Amino acid sequence: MSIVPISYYLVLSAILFGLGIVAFVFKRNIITIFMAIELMLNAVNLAFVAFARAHDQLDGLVFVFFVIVVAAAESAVAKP
Amino acid sequence: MTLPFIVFFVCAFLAVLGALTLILAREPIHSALALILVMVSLAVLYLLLGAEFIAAVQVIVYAGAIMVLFVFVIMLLNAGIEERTDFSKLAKYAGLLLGMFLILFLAHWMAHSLIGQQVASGVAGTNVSVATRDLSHQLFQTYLFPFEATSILILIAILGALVLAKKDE
Repeated sequence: MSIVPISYYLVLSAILFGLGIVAFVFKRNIITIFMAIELMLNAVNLAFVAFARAHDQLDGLVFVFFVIVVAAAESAVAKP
Repeated sequence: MTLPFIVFFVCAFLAVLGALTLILAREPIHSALALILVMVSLAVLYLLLGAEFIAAVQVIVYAGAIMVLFVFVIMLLNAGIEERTDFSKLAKYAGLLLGMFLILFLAHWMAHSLIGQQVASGVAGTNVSVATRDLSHQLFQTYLFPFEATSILILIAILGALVLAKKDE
């Protein structure tokens, strides 16, 4: 199965989170700013899954599930 | 260079490329499509990590539902090309430098922190089909109360969207 070290995933997650922050301060359109928030949420999800895999526990996956639910609710309210 | 490494690097490259395109694209619709690219490549990475339920949810909910909402709103509001200020020298150089520093610092800190080193070697093999069953057990037993709370959250979101949409008329 997966023989890629967990730290690779963590570095990718950090890079995506940093790019999300850069996009958040860089973009001037409200919709693209919202996309930047989604990008940061995705980066955090990747870190959650990587840690869940590393510790062989499923709590991280449950947190990812909740993050996705909250993001969906947030986008439903924010769009109008 | 085995197959998982190749898949990881291709997907990581696509994800970073998508994030950069999100920042640099001037039309919002291009940014939205770039974000879809990021989400799909992250779903492949979840599969590589053995979390196939999360990968499916990522594709269905994120790339499916949320991004369709984004594209829908962009089309509906007719969001045009975004205007840019001509950067001042301070913003151009200090901003670029600080952004690069932030990304490098985060990546370095994540890779070399104590917890990162602790788990760096821990790649244990759970059986994939068992993982989803255990996840559902976890979700409906240990985390039953938060799960029910999310249903209330979604109900509130529906009501809030209705109220916000009605105020427009």
